[in-house]
Amino acid sequence: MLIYLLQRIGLSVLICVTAMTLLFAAIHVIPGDPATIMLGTRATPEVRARLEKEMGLDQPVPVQLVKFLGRAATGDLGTDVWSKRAVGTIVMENLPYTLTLIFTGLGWAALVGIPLGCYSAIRRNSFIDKFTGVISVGTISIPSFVVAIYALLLFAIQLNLFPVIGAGEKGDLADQLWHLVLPSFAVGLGWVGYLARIVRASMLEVMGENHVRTARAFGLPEPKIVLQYALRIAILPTVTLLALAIGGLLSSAVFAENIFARPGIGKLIVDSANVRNYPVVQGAVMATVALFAFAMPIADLIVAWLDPRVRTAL
Amino acid sequence: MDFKLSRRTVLQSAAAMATITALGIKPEHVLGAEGGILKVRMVGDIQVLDPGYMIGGAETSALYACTPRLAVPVHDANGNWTWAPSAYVEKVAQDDDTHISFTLKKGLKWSSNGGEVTAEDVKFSFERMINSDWSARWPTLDHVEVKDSHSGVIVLKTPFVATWLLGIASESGSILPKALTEKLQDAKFTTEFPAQCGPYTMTEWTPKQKMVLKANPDYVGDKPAFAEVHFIDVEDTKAAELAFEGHEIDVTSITTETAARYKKSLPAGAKLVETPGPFYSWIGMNTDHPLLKDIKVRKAIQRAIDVDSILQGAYAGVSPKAFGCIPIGILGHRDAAKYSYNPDEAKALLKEAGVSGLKLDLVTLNQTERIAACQIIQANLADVGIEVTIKPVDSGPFWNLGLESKGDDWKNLQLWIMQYRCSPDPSDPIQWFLKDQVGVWNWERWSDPEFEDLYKKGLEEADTKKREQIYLRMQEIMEDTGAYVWLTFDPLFYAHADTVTPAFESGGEVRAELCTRA
Repeated sequence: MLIYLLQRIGLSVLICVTAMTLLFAAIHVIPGDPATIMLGTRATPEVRARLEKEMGLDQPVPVQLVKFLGRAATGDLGTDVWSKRAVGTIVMENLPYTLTLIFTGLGWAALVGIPLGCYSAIRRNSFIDKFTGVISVGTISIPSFVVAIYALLLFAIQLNLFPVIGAGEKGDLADQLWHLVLPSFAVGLGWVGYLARIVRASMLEVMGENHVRTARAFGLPEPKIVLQYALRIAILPTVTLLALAIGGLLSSAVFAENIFARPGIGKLIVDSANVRNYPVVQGAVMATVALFAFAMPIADLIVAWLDPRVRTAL
Repeated sequence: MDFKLSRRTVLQSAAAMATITALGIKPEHVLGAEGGILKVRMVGDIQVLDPGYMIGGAETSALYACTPRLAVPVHDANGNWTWAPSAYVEKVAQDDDTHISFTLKKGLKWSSNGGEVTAEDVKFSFERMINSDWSARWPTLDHVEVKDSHSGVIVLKTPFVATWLLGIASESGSILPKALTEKLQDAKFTTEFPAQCGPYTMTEWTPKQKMVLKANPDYVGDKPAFAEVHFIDVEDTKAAELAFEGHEIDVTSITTETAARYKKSLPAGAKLVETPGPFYSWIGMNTDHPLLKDIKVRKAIQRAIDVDSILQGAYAGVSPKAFGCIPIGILGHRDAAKYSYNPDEAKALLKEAGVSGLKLDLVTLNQTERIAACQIIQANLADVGIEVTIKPVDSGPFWNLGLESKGDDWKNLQLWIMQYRCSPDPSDPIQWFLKDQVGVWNWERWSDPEFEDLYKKGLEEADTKKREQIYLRMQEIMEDTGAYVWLTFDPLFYAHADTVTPAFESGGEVRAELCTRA
């Protein structure tokens, strides 16, 4: 188990290094110098050179990469060239907003999607099952930014029920939750259908297995069979899927953060990339890649905890 | 804030809300006014408040609202930007071509126990600009002489009339507390003022969310109209427009398309403001390119392009036509050109030049309205027998196209759509077309001795009328090169709540301290 864990952590580190190598290569390939874009006609050669030096762009790409990774290993993600603030601090200011958005979106999607999938499997071919199927495919196929825009127009602008922009007042939890409703609805909606379909398919498979038939033969009540014997196994692919969902939701969060003008890591990356603020882009991307890379081994551990077969195989 | 909820307050509030609703008044507007909070959209977060190293945007608003200065920008009787003494001075005046004397008011206090604002602070603040990122605003500043605690003289090496609008009255003329700033690392700061002394003080900054300015109780001038001004970071303009329509923002810049829509039908409780912007757009031609070396070809292109159609088709019909490079509201703005759209004349000029089957590349930034403009230009030039290929590029490669230091792209550059931004002195928009800018920002690559001479004279001429004539003549010279088809001075459009009267500086940033209730 320990060896497996170390292997997965090693793989996660490798993912981070690969992703950052690609990012550094991309930065090097993108034409145009950041100083000209940042400063326009005001960029004198001296100011331009200073800015490039501060961003480390005057050094060969491998040197930049090695220095960055070396610093990142000690928790130092560099310094924003403009505000001179630590990129780590900037990332940590924004990351909680994105995580809250992702986990709220995923949370409500799981709360609705998993029972819906379960019910559809138990009542296979019923009206509810067919209706859920149609709705699921519908929600999966609508991009989250479209949901975000229409939710905003309808619930915030037209009906005035929810706030339009921002993340709520600092220290006011109720206000923050109020500001979270529409963005989390937008990022989570597609996952309701997705989770419902996955759980349904998985449940149908498990419900046909011998141990379920045996449980029925013993006369166990149906809810107990479904919840204790079937769902526990059927949920396993969903756990892995939820870990993968973090990556997908990070990109959905970019749209939601921009449309609802919420702070967050996605918006930070987009804003920083637009003005070629590379130290912030690098630091923020590193944080998101690490988040995604380490979510996978965590999901594996949860699966192992839930399923003894997996546990013994490790 | 103490707020106790009692049965009485609930009943009073309910009655008030019922009355407001019955009168058809939007509750959120009334609540906004009672709270005295003005909510302004800022496009991007603040990053560097230090006037020597700032970037722009809301930082400009914060500097005007929170720091003292000797002079402020105002409009003259003709609507052009000029300067006036600020509320912080007893006197500020030009003694001669190279000397400007000032006397600060007594009793101006810095926050953070920074003591009184003194002439030493002025000397420190202005002299540090000489070696800053914004040194171009103070090109001839020599030093500041301190006469006594509150008086001094700004000494220029050579006359430079633009010192007023580019330096003293601009954000670059912000005065900082010497003692407190010198204590900082490298004597620079980023997102926190060492001390403040303005109508407002910046009291809160939540990164990527908002900056809060609160009325300064110690301010000696007129009290500002709002108890608080919240600058809310909304990067995306469409999101800001929705936030405005949802009554969460009182003042926001809007897109040209939305301005056209609002001109037809304004949302309830909203007003639209159009201010001349700091931008100037044109179609440039590389006079060094073999295909464009002949001035007759360039003049044919000038006459073949229907700018009115471009403004209708690409700029929603809401942008004014340009006749030069000095925007509206700046001395020297030109309101007529020597040429006009005339395809027959264009054909005749091409024939005279012996050119037929001409094929040209038109480069543009990959932006919707510019691509639309390119398509109209393409059709216009096709009408006179010139085949145009449109080449949209992203900002990175685009801004390198004319720079000799970035390769040989400038040699292949033929036609392009360009937009520059400027400060409110006529020397600023015109400086990029000087001889020393060839291969830098003068992508048209021409030079003219009279133009160079006039530029020097314009920097020294204090007489407004004479100075205006200088810049009018300079634009005429530019036009005569045939290398420019003036397009527009992209105006800035703002939507604001009808309960507020907003104010703006020349670059379009909100002057919080000048905003009032309607």
